[in-house]
Amino acid sequence: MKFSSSVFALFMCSALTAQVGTADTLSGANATDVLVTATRTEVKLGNVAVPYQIISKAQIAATGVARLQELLQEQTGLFVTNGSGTGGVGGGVFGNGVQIQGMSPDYTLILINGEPIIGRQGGTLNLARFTVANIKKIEIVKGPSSSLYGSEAMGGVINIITEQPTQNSLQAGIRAGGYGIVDANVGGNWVTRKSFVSVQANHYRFGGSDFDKNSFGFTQDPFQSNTLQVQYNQRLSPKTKLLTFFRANREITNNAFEVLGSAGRTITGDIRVNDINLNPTLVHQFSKKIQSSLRLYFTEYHSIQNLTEADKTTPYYYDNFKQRFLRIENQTNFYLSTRHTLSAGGGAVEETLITNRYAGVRGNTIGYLFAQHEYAPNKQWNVIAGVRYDRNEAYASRMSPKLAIRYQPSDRLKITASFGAGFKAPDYRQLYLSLVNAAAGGYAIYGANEIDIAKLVQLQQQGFIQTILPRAADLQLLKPETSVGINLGSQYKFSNKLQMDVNLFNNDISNQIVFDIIALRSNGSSVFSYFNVNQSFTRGIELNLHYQPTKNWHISGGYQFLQTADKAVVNAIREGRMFGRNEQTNQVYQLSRADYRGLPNRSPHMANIKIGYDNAATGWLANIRAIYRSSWGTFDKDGNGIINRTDELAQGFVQINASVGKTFHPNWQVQTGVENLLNHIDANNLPNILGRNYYVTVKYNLSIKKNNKQ
Amino acid sequence: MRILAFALVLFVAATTTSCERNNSNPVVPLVTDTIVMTVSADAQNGSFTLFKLSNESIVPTAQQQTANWDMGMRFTTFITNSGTNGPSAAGVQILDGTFEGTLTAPETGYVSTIDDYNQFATYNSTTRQFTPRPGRIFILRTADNKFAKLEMLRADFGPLAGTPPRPTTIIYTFRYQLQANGTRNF
Repeated sequence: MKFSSSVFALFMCSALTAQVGTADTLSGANATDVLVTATRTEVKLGNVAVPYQIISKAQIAATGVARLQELLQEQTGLFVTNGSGTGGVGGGVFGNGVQIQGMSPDYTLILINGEPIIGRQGGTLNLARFTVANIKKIEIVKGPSSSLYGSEAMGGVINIITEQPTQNSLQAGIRAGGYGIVDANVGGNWVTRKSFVSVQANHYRFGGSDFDKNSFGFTQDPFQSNTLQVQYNQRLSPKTKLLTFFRANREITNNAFEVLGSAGRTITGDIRVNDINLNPTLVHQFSKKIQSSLRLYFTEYHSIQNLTEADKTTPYYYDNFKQRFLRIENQTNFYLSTRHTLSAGGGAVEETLITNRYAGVRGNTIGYLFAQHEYAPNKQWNVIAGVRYDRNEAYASRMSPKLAIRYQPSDRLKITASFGAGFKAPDYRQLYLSLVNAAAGGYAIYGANEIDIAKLVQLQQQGFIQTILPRAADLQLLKPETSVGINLGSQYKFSNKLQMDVNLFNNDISNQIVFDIIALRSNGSSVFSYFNVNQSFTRGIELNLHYQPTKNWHISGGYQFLQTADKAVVNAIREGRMFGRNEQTNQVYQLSRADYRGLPNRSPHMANIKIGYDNAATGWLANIRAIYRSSWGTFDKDGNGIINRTDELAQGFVQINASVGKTFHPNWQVQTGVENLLNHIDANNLPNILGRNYYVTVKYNLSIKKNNKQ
Repeated sequence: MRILAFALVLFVAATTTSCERNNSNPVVPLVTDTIVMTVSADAQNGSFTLFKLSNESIVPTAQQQTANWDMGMRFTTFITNSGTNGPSAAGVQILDGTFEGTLTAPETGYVSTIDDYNQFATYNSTTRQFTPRPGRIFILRTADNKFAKLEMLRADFGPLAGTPPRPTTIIYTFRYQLQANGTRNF
């Protein structure tokens, strides 16, 4: 019922109005714009053969948001979910990650200018680390893309592309609003004929949210972050240029919470994060047909968490986590003819990780090769085939193919089909964790490379372990988690004003890594390690409509229907081995397939409607955006480990955001807006969503048109 | 060949089951009761809380080396009066099914101890809830070679103590049916 009514609403919305232009502020882009993330070459949007989404600078500015997570949660099919650590240690200890096509945030690769971001904790990369200031556009490619990017590109890739200035300018802006949020930007660009320098600084401050005044601490901890970003481009010769990107981010989150289950025991402290990215790239045009780039990338993520208990001198918790990533990569594009383009490359990665949870310094060395061939026999067809091979020391090697086909029988209709393989390397905790958690009952967790039967026997002889369970016999070198994704899409232009995109997707995920008990300690606590066990799938349909009745108005609607399941659970239900306990009667009943709600944290229905107005002549800008998410599974309550009862679900909700702005005298812009107008608050399940809050933004932009011709 | 052999096994299994069904006579009443046992959460040094089904009562720990008890628990370990736990030849195994729907105890497959709680319960480290798995039925062979089925209804933590806070006891609630006539049918 919900499904049909939402679709109906979308169609109604589109039917109510009737006229368009192609460029707009809310949907993004012209068909002549390019997408780089899907192929790592610049491809005109009209030729892209995989599902994608582009969030343009204008669109980002129109929404008025300050952080990446707020922007992503308004996009069709993206689900920003709070990190796995929520509840235990304040709100979202590991921050907020993003699901693409129902795939877990661990499987979303996030890039800045094509280079991967590190610093995942508990699998999640905190999106609140990223300001949206000075972004040219965000490209989102859905479905597995490991054929180009290697590990983590299982569910999709989000590529944040920074602005490259074309003229001298100075900008400053400040946004202030509820919950103590302040977002301040200042920047300048200096452009000469052969080079540019761009320096941008951002300060962001969040005062914290507290939806449960009766308990000590915050729902979402206050934090502040300072980001400096410098870009320097230099044309070294007519055929050679050097591009350098540098980013440094420093962040402090103040933690305050009460120990679960023990009222009155209060913990305070903070997490201090420092991360830097440095990425020089040398691009050389050997000939009209051969272009090569050499990319060097260094990034470091350092986080220190320090917690103390009130009236205690010894630390409650201390973690020092330092990750480094160094990569050198070459990619060469061969524009063989108008029909054939070949890209090939390879690289080497050196990663290290130091934390007091691991025994010593851990790391990995990865070598990889990739190749991709694009064949466009005529205007109607193009075919892209690619493959990448990753080899490393710490886990099994991996080959990732991809095939994408586009067929465009007319200017109005485009049909795409793609097949891709994705993988995610076992992360460091799954490989190297070596933790005896005295703070939580004395359980022990070992990464798969840190434990084997021989070591368990040794621990048993030392009296640390009492019983080795049969599961321990299955311990082995972890394999990467893998996925195979199929996407079938179609884009239809009803007119220049109305366009519809439909995409069907299916992702099959194998070798998912889960932890399991391998032994019991003498004190009765469990000893865990990691195994490649689970298989699951996510599948569904995504629908997007763009409608531009007049030059100034734009309406868009998006909807995603999603089905997910753990295949072992589906089998167990089929074999009659899954049971549930009725929440009222306490009666045990056998589960049917319909009782199973799929993987936790997935909403079957997600939709959005955005209405925007933009008048360049008067300088007025306004928009209203509504986002709907149907109920989703939180955690099991009846002991069967799966989501099957209504009390295991979080309530669906609608969030409405709106903003209005005016540009005065070309240099000044004032914008005001409201987020979460309906004030939907769910402290337990949505700690990352704030209550209704208002903000005001003032921006100043001084562009100096200078005659640079020498 | 394999299919044939499998079919044969199925046939034998079916006939055996039906024979037993026919033989089972509900004249001998089943002992039906609920067990509430508070057990030590000290997995290392705590003593086992012992229970005898036919008496419907807790048995003093001092009697562990006698035939006077059937099953016992400490922390999350479930023991029966056999092997290293006690002098008898009791045993336990866990089947999938509902309590009412479990009508026959298997002939073989019994173990002396279940120490992996995943077999019968789940622990959610986020909410710190310890919950019995629904549809997991304990089949117990008692110290005097009778058969019983048990369903764990609740597993509640007793008071928390210490740093970090850990439960001092766990209170398990079972319901059970003991077939006193010595057959494997309920």
